[in-house]
Parts: sequence; C-alpha cells; structure tokens
Amino acid sequence: MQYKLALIGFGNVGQGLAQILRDKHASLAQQFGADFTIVAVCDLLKGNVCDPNGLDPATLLDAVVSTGKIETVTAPHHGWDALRTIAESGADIVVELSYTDLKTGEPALTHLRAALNAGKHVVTTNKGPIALHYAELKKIAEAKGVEIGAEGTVMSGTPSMRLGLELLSAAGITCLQGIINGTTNYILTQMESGMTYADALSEAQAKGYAEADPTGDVEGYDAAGKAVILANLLMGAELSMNDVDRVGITGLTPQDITSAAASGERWKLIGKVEKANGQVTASVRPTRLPITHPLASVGGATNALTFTTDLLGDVTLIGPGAGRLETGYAILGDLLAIHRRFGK
Amino acid sequence: MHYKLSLIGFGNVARALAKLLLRKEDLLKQQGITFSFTGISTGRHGCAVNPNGLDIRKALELLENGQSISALTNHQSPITNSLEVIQHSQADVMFENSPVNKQTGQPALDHIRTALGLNMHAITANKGPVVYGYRELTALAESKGRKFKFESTVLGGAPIFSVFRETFPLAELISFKGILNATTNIILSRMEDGESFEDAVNYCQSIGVAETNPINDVDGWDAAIKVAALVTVLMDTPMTPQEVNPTGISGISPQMIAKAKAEGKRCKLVCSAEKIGDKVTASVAPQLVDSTSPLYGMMNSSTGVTFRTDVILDYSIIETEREGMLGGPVETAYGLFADFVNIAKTAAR
Repeated sequence: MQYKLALIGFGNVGQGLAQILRDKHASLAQQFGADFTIVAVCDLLKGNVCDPNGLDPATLLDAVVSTGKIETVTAPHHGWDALRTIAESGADIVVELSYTDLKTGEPALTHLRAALNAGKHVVTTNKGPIALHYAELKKIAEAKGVEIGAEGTVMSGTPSMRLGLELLSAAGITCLQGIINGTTNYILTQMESGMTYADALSEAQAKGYAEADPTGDVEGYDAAGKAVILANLLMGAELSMNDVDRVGITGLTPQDITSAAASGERWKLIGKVEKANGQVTASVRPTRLPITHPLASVGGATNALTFTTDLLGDVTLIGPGAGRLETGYAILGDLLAIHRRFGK
Repeated sequence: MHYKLSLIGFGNVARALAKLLLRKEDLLKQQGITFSFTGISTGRHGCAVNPNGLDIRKALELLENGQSISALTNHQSPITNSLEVIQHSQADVMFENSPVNKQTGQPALDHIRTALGLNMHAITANKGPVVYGYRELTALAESKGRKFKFESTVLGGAPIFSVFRETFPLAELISFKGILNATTNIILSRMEDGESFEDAVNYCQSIGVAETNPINDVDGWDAAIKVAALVTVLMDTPMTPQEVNPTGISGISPQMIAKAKAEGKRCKLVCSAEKIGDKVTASVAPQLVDSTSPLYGMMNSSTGVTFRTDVILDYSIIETEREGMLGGPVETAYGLFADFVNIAKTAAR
C-alpha cells in the first residue's frame, strides 16, 4: 500500500524522517507492505518542492546539505505555500513539523485543520496545536474518518503515548508524572554538581538544548503543554494551558539544591497529571524527591514518565526527550499505526 | 462481541485472572466485550467443559476448597485431560498457564498448537512455549488469522514486547540489561539491610513471591528463561535458558554485600544479552553496580530493562511495586487480561 506524504517543515525532525525513509524504504515495504513516498516538502526557509510521483529523500537531504534549500531539487512544482501544498500535492498524510507556538498553536493549527478537513491523516510532533486544540481536531478527524498521530509531542522517540495507550486500554491510568522537559533537567543536574543557574543555562544553550529565549523551558510552559497533551490524549480530559498549576525552576537557588542533597533528596521539575473522582488536574512544579525514587536518578537531558494504574505496579519509562532520528522514529511509529488501521 | 474462554492451568495466576475478569465484567460490557468460560483444566482437580458456559464462581470455590471441578462438565463425552478441554471447549480464546518447563516448553507447546489449530487466540504467561516455540507458534497464529500473545511472561504487566515492536518497527535490538527476577532482588535488598539469606528467602515465601522450593529463582533459572524469551522474540534468535547458563545468588555472602555497600555499590542479579553479527551472548549473574547504573535504584520487587537499539538512544522500562499492591500472580494476571482486551479491541475496529 502506498502513502503519499507532504512534509510541512523540513528542519531537524523532517530531515530525520527523510533519512529514515531513505535508509529503510525497502525494509518497510518488505516487512510491512507499506510504501511511504514523500510527494511534497514545504519549509519557511528552505522553500517548497512538489512532485506527485514522489521525491527522492536522498536528493532532498543532499540539497539541504549543499545549498541549504530544497527549491533546487528538480520537480514539476515549486514555490507553493503550506496550504497550497496540503491542498494540491495529492498527499494522503500530512506530516506537520513547523515551529511550535504554545500561545496560538499557529501556523500548525491552520495546517492541521486544512489537512483533516480535506480528509487527510495527520502526524505531528508539534505540541502547539495538540496541547491547545486537540478536542476540535479530534472531532474533525472522527467526522472524516482519519487519524491524528502525536507520539512525538511528548518524549520524542521514547514511546510514551504508545505505552500509555497500551496500558490504558485495560488498566486505566490514574496518574502520570515525570520529567518531560530535558532542558530544565539538564540545568538542575549541572546545578547539583556545583554550577550556578546562569552558567548551567548558557551551557544548555551552547549544547543546543535551550533556546536563546529560554522562557518556554525554564518557566515550565513546555512541560505544561506536554502535561495538557498527556491529560487530554491519555486520560480523556479537556484541559487547557491555563488549567495547569505551573511553577518553573527560576526560583530555585543553589542553597535549595545543596540543602536537598544534604538530606538525600534531589530537585526535579515534575509534570503531573492526576485523575481523582472523575476530575483530571495537572501541575508542573519543582519537586524534592528522595534519591531512591525512580525519577530522581534520571539525569541530564533525559526524560522519564511514571504511569500509575489501579491494577499494576508503577511503570516508569525513561529515554531521550529529543533528537533528530529519535523524533523521526516517533513519526514512523505513527505512520505505521495508520497503515495497521487503514492499510487492509 | 462475545468471547468464550478456556483456562488451561488453574493455579494462582489463572484464578487471579478469572477474578479480575469478573471484577471488570461491567466495564468490558460497556466496551462491547462479553465473555463466558467454557473450559477449565487443572493440575490435580480435574477438568470441566461446557460450551454453553461454566459457573466460574463455583469452579473457584471448589478449587479453593481443594475439591474436583469435574462435576461442572456438561458434555456428551467424558473430559479427562487438558487437550480434550481445548478440543471440546469451543473457545475463542485459550489462556495457557500450565507449569513452566524450562527443558522443552511442554505441555504448553502442545496446548497452544492445538488451540491455534482450532482457530483460537492463545494467550500465555508461560515462558516455556515462547522460548521453544516462538517462531512456529507466531507463524501458525498468522496463518490462522489469530493472535499468540505473551506480554506477561517478562516484566509482569508492562507491555514491553508490543511497545518495542510497534514503536521501533525496523530497529535492531543490539543489547539489553536489567533485573528480571523479583524474588532475588527482594532477597538481595533485604540482605543489604542485614537480614540473613535464609530469613530473606523465608520472607519471600511468606508473602507468596517465592515458591516453596525457591531454587528456580535463587539459582537464576527464572531470570535465564526470561532472558531467553527476550532474545528469542526481540533479537529474533532462538535461545534456551540452558544456553544462558545462569549463576544464581546462593554464593553471595553477607560480607560481600556489606563490602559492596561500604564502597557505595549494590549487588544485583544482572540479566543481559548482546548481539554481535548473528551471534547473541547472554548472561545471568550477580554483579556489583554503582549509583550511576539504572539498576542501582531498583530495590525490592522493582524490575526493569534498558534497551539499546541501532536507531535511538537507550530507553528503559521499570516496574515498581506500590504500597498495598498485591504483586505476583495478580500482576501476571493483569498482563493476560491486557492481552485479551487488546485482542478484543483490535478485532472490534
């Protein structure tokens, strides 16, 4: 079965997906009978290219390396904007990877609405539209009989959604809590080894973990967006960003860190979603954990999420929270889930 | 959709499963899933078959009073063994929970072959048939359009097999490392607090985690068969527990544990495997781990595994018991229950 993909956004993650499709195209066809062909790519900075007969992922990647653009790739159509690409590329699945905006969800929200309304499946790693407007998008998807894949929005390639859905289907999740922002965990880990907050932040920026304006990470907005996604997708809640009781890490002093260490504890920025009496509540706040706690030993930019159900012991998933190929694999997992459901 | 269920093996795990299904009956009904029990086979208390549905509460009661369940049978011919139960139960799903056989995987292998052959789904918590029949049984299930599921064989109810395969479809598992046996981990944790080996074993027996004869846990065989199952399924390389050749914890003295503790380390029964080319080497042996290891924090009944693949950075799944959790058979029963619900939901789509 062939699926035509339109990629909206061709930064790290889009290129990671292209790399996977370049390297694994044959084995995907052989093992799963799925042929994922890129027919269009549209990127704000790198331009647009569209060929309904398929674009070679290797050619796209080479073009980015040699020219920084994809416009140079030979194809019947160039210069389309994202909405025209979605409407006219002939894609069955739109992979939305534009930049994240946790205030409006745009421009991804408009892209996803357009794709779903046109009866196309969507897969996204973009937290904005999923955190802010999932209920509306889900409604359109259900009316049109198509799927929304969002595995990569939380913990990138570490399968938090898939594990959650598997557990959820039978056990019923009562609480989710974890380290869902790698940047702040990196900063806290460095502060524990004696670094100041400012130094740890600039190191995180130098390593590419933190952005030039770190507010989204350090004030807990990114984690809050993920908490909303977990609540709405895995617990059936309808929370918005304002419902999250949110405190960032900027108020933590080196004294706080050392005094916790002295009593055998560690500060972690914990995102938590809890269901009690049918009510789902969410919070993001610095929390002191005993070092024996499974989340306390998670250091650096690593992410972790603990699932509490009424039937099982707690299940904790630990893994990378970012990365080009990691997130690319999250998208591939969603693509194959669409194939499992519709490909017969 | 209605499912007729048969229970082959009716020990602690299967009885916990029956009770769990009864407890969740209304919830399942809301999701369009109903069930009845049409066959039960026990080790020492007879067999029962009734394609119109058995009285499961009565069966549980008889068993718990040590009585035979044979009188519950409503069938034209007498039913005397497990294979006859499978053949005459007309079940849609067969739960295989006979005792683990680490040498051959029998009789579980024959039970599952027979059930799949009769177009039943087969769900097991039994590691034997996974190790000795994974490829054959998976192919048979596929040819019949049925499922062979075994999530509860490793790490209780955490669905490590399906999550791995669905999330990293083309990934190659290069290595894994973890703690897979709760009994030995409890014993080592308690010895670290100064308890003797014998007292720690007695404790495990008193809470129902260890068997009357704890040798299977203590000598590393339970861990070895789990390693063999992970290698066989996720590394696609058949391996037996004998090839894992485990070293248990009976040689660990209180002095060794105290010395490790003084050095900031802990003694753990470490399970690992690594694939190099087409060759897999696996081991189960006590090792000292320091506080940078993900295994260091796994205390008491916590178990877990770290996976290394060719595609993404390492990821781990850890299961930790909560206060008040029953653990053991209930957790394993949950894994069987989840396999059933997943099959029923997939079929409903």
